[in-house]
This record gives sequence, C-alpha cells and structure tokens, in this order.
Amino acid sequence: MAQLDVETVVTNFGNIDTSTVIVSFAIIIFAYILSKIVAFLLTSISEMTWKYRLHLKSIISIFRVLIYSLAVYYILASVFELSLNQLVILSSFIGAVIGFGLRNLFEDIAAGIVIVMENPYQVGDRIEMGDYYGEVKDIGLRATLMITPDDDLVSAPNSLVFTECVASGNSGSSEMMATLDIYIENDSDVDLAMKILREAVVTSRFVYISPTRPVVILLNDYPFYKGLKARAYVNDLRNEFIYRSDITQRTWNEFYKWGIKPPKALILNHKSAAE
Amino acid sequence: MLTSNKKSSMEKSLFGLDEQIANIQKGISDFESGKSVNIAILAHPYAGKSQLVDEIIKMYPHKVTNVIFSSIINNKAEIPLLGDLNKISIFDNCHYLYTRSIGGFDIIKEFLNTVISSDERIHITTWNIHSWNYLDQVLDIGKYFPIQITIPPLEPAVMKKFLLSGYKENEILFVNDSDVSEKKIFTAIKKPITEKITHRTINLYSLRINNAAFKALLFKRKKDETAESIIFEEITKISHGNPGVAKEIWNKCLEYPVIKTSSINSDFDDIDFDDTGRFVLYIILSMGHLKKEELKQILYQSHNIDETVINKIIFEMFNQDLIKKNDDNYSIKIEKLYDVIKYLEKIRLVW
Repeated sequence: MAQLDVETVVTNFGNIDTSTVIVSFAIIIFAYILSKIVAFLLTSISEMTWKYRLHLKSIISIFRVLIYSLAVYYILASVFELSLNQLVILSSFIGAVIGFGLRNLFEDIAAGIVIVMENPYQVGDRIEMGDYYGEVKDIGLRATLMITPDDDLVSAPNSLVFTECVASGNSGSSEMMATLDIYIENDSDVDLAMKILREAVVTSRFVYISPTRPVVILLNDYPFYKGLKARAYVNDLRNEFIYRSDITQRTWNEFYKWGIKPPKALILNHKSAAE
Repeated sequence: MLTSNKKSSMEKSLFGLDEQIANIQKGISDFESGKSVNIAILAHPYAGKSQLVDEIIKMYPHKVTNVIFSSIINNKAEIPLLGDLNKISIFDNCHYLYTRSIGGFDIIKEFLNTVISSDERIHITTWNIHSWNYLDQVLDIGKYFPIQITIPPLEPAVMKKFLLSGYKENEILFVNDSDVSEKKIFTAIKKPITEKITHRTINLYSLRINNAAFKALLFKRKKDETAESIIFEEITKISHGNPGVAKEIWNKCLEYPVIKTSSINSDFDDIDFDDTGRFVLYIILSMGHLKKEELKQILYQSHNIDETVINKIIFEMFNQDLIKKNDDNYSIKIEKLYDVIKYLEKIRLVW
C-alpha cells in the first residue's frame, strides 16, 4: 500500500507541468495577499478598540499560520491531487530533506508555531529577548520583529525562545509597569521628596491606577545619597519612555523649587573620585 | 463659592431619584440617632446633581448649610468648615478642592481630614464622577464617605415624563418618518462603469445599508411601535439616560410642536488629539467647567504646558465642536459629553 502511494507521489511529481507550477505560485501569492489583508484589518480594528488591542493583534499570527497551512494543503491535495496517505509520506520526505539542509529555517518556523500556541509573548508586548528590548511589531513564521526604544527594527529569529529567556513587561495587557529611579542628596527632606515624586506620578497624563495597579514609592538609603524608586503602571506601553521623561522632568522641576538637589557627581561616582 | 440657608425658590420636580432620596434620608436619620455619617453624591455632568441637592434643602430647610464651589479652591480658608454651620452641611462640587498637579491635593486632604474629624454634623458632598473615580484610586476617597450615592440613568418611561413635564397633554406631535417598510438591511447596488481602454462595461457592486431597518432589527422594534415610544427610546439611548443631555437633544430636535424620528441621530464624530490635547480634554471633563486661568494653573505649573499650547488645544477643541465657552468658563458641549467620555475611556484617561 505504502509502496503504491510512494509510486503515485513520484508519478504525480513527474506529471508537473507549467500550468501546475503557475497555479501553485498563484495560490501562494493569494495566501500572501490574504494574510496581509487579514493582518491589516485586524490591526485597524485593534487600534479602534483600545481595550482589546493586544488580544486582536495576537490573533494575527494564528491567522497567518492557518492561511499558509491551508495554501500548502490546497496545493498538495488539489493541484498535485495527493491523498492523505501520500501527503503524509511527502511531508516525511520533505521533513527529512529539509531537516538536514534547512535546519535553522525550520527550527525558526517550529518556534514560530510554538509562540503562536503557547503565547510567551504577543504582538504589542514589550519584551526583552537575547540582547534586544522593544515592542513586538509582528510575529512571523520565521522571525519576530521588534521596535527598539531607538526606533530600530530588529528581526529576532523565533528559535531564540528555545535558547534564551524571554521577559515580557506587560504579557498581553495594554498597561505595563514602569519603574523609575531618582537620586537625591543625603540631607534632603525625604518626606517631601517622596510626596513630590508620588504626586508627579499620580498626576501624570500617562499613568494608569487601579486596585491591582497601584502606585508605590520606595526609599533606598545609600552611603552617600538617597534613592527614590517609583513603581507605577503606564496606561499604554507605547508611552513608557515619554512617561519616564514626564515624571523625571516634573519631579526635578519641583525638587529644585524646594531645594532638593541631586547627589554631587563626585559622590555618585565615588570609585573614580577616590582614584 | 456660595453659601445659602434659604429654601430654593424654584419648585423643581425630581425624576427617577426616589431611591437616592430615601438613602439620603436614612443617612440623615442615622446621624440624628448618633451615628457618624458622611455622604458622597456622584454624578456625570448634567445628570441632575443640583436638583437632588435642592430637594435635600427643601426637606430640611432650617438644618442645612449649602456651600457651592464653582471654581478651583486654592486656599483652605475659603472653605467655611469651622464657621457657624448647621447640622447638615452640603458641599456641592467638591471636585474643585483638588487639581491634577503636584501640590494639588493639599486642600482636599485637609477637607477630608476635617470631614472625618467632625461628629457634630453630617457632611453631604457632591462630586463629578470622573474626578471621584480618579481620587478614589489616588487618595482612597471612598473610605471617607461610607454612603455613596450614584445618580442613575433615567429609563425611557421616566425620561418621557421628564421631557414632557413642561408641556400640556397632546401638545407635542410625534411623527415617524423613518422608512422601515423595506425589510432588507443590506441591498447590493450595481454600478456599471465603462472601462477606458477596451470600452467594455464592468459592473461594480457596493452594499447599501438600510439604517431604519437595521435599527429596527437591532432594537427589536415592532412594526406597530409608536413614534412617541421610538423617540423616547432613542433619546434615552443617545443621552445614556442623562436628563441634561436628553433635554439638549430634545430641544435641538423639536420643531415645535412636531418632533420626528428622523431628526434623532447619534452620529459619532471622530475625536483626534495628541497626548496633551487628550489630557486637557480630560481636565475639562473631570472639573465640569474651568476658566482659562485655572487651566493654566494646572497645566503650566505642574505639567510644563505653556499658554501657546493651551491656546492651540482650545482652538482645536472648538474646531472639533467639543467645548463651549460661557462666562469665561470652558466646558464640554452637552451633546458631545458621551462622545468625549467614550474617547477618553478608550485611551484610558477615564478609568
């Protein structure tokens, strides 16, 4: 039976003519265009519904995998007229060939499917993967596209999820925690500084506060200066950097009004000062 | 700021607030029997907060001191907390006691401290619901007011009574001029176009939506539903049950003595601002109305937004037909209130 199937597969491939190749290409192009349209539509809808933005974006990758899988299935089943058994045999054969030749590529594709299924991160998340940190713009079959804070577009191979730790700052939520450190002179009025920092955070136009998303201000005592840490959630992870800048600027403007100063540079960098 | 012990001269009827009044009466009777009680009344702008306050004054004419804040309070001496107040102290528009700026919570903290320290009187406070929701997250303000009363939206039947309260019976004529006879919601429209090179005719198809039929299906409207019922349901829906907004829509749609179903539309206009513009819009919404000087006080001193930017944003808001100016006060246009709320909720400025 299997022998017969293999023979049919070989015969069918022997019968491939120009029109079969053209139809196959046309199906692939159609799948490509369809996946682009679906991605465009879902992105547009997700931007309209702020609350479910990331949920909708996360479906894009699933649709993409589905569309390409259906296209490949359609080419093999309808154009090459292969039965299910023959498809399995062909898949094993192709798997063996590419397992040796294009191992990395297919490792990335397998990782892409794992990302879609397990959701370690989604489109729109802010993640740290390998040496890169940024917002996930797209999860392709082979690579994940990220925009770094410096606006660089980084294409990280999906297989990194197998070898590197991936940290997601918001894991599917629109808001994400952003911590901010501010250092002040040791003899500063700490109570006043903490009050100002807290008010700078809670009055920021980028902050999001709820019972599960509280604002926390922490004080750290160092030998030559004091450190304040503000932990709060930014309403949209895309505002993370502008939020930090907003808080820093407004806090320092107020600190200067009240005579709260940053630690002296020589003290902060006390090792080089000692040298 | 105004202080008044007098009974309101205008006789106003209350609609749909019976339960709220009963809760307030119970709170006052608990206080009179020795319990420490403070009440917060929360409402959207134009929802009827002032009417409820007037009703309390009418019920307890000699026991009430009413303090109305109508602009931002910058000095705690402006709050007559230690003055000769009656047993029932009403503080209207308490959202003017804070500003969303660094140092903007000092007065409200002082006020809240006084409110919980005084056992001699009951404090009834009213708040813009957006300011309240913000302060509840930032200052946990709900803990200071064990009784919180939210003014609910009106149901269509109550809305009808409210809107028709100023007219005689059968004075208004309700007309249903919407086309619901056509049952199909979507109709394919064929548009022939002559192709330029070969001069062949190609048919382009588009979909036409029958709005009236679509609405009828959406709201499970029956064929024999009266024009009056359709109109009050539509107005209640568009106004989110807010009587102030409903009255504005009613006045705009009424071609006395006729009101038509076709005149009631809920077209949502796109609102588009940058981060700063959105924030200014939120500040105006959460305060109800503000003078430009007050906006400058919040935005310049704490948010480094200078006057030229504020002017530009206000100009944009007028361009998008979102705000109005009355006696130097800027406020959200009544009919745009829920468009603005929806927009600010979407971008998570309204929590």
